[in-house]
Amino acid sequence: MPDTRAPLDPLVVPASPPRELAARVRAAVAQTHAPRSTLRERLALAVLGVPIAVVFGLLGSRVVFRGRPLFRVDIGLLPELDLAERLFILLLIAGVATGVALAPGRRGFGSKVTLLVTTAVVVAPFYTLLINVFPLGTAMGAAAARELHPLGLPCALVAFSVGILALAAFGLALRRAVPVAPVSRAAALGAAAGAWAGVALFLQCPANDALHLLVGHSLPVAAFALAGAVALPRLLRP
Amino acid sequence: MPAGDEKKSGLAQAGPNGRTGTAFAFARNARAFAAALDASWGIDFNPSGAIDRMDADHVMRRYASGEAAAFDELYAALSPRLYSFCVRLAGRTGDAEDLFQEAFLKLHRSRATYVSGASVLHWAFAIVRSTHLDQLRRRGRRPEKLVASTDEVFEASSACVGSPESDLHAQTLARIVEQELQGMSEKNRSAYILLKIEGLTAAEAAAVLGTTGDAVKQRAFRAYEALREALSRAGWGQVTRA
Repeated sequence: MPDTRAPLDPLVVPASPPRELAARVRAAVAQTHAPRSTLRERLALAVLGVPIAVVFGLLGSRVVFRGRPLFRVDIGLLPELDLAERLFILLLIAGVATGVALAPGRRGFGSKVTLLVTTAVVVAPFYTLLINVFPLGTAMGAAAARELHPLGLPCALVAFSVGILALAAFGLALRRAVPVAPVSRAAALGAAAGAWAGVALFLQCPANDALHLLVGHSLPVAAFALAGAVALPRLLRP
Repeated sequence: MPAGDEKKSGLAQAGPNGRTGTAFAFARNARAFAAALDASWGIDFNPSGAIDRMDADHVMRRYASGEAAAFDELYAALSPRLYSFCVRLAGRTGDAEDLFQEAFLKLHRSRATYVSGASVLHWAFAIVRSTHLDQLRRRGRRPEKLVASTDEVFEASSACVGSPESDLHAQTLARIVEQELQGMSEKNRSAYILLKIEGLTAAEAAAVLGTTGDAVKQRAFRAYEALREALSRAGWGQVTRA
């Protein structure tokens, strides 16, 4: 329906809003509930939600796929230093992505857009590079992996459950708190959630097969950045 | 226009040849032009002093912590600047009032997410712009061209050639600029308004618009060039060059 109201006359623009408008605003504000929890409290809850999401995803997969071990079967056989180093890098990627995506920023508008977009774009390639080009495994793990789905669909489901919980926690933390660049922020939040899903998969799945890793591990991690960019902006806008 | 206002707006220098002086001031200094424009609208242009930033931020902190009584103070501190920003973004009085009301409601709902130490005015600008984009998205259209045709604008400006009243020239100038602003893309318009009229720095405007400082400068420059061209078409540029 076309807007038939009169165009603005620049010669009669008043210096301040009309009194009746002020009254309308006051009445609307008085009738509208505003949440009391501060951004800092919400962010703390979101960060707390990440380990819960990982544990829930791992435990949930054990229930859904009966017999699936909670942690990778060769976790005790892997060289301790290699395991610690790999886990540290994965945690660093996930932590940095989460920090960039959640940070309130100096001006209160979050991290800079270029940083958000970079985060959204680089997390999945970094993860893929790490697990595909420098795989970590043992003969026992490879034998166990042969029993797994060749495309790693159960792994994708684990990644989905961990990622969706993390994404929900991040989204609720920043609900109505992102007036600027909500799509970039949402994509970065999605990438961070995907990175945490990647950590969970590393802890649980011993597979080293390239196809399995690409479809079951990397693809879900990459998909979360896209899912965040599509699903979250409406929740994030004030 | 009272003499004091003329001095403040920079129009006093125009005198009987007000058109030339104001147009030259525009070409030389967009901030002075913005002041002239606001003075002609009756808006007190004072980016640094209209709101004492520290006071407004303090009031916002109180409001964010749940002190409902702080709303009136916050409204008094923010509403003049926000309303004029809404008017310039929306272009129609009705739309501007809708935008203003919706933005204030969103500011209220999001008050707990205000980051202490950040500028409340810039935060409010960002909410207004986000609300404006939402409204455009809901309507599924780009900003309508609300302006009269270029010929009408030219006729309007030509009608003032013989007038010695500098404020009349300023009003004509304001009309041309406003019409051109409403006809340009939302990105260029908002960058120009924040940078050249509201007096934000490139970094501040970039933060409010969610882009880089260079992009903001580029958009504002495009808007500025479009305004210059519009003024030139309406005969102002020729007078200035002469």
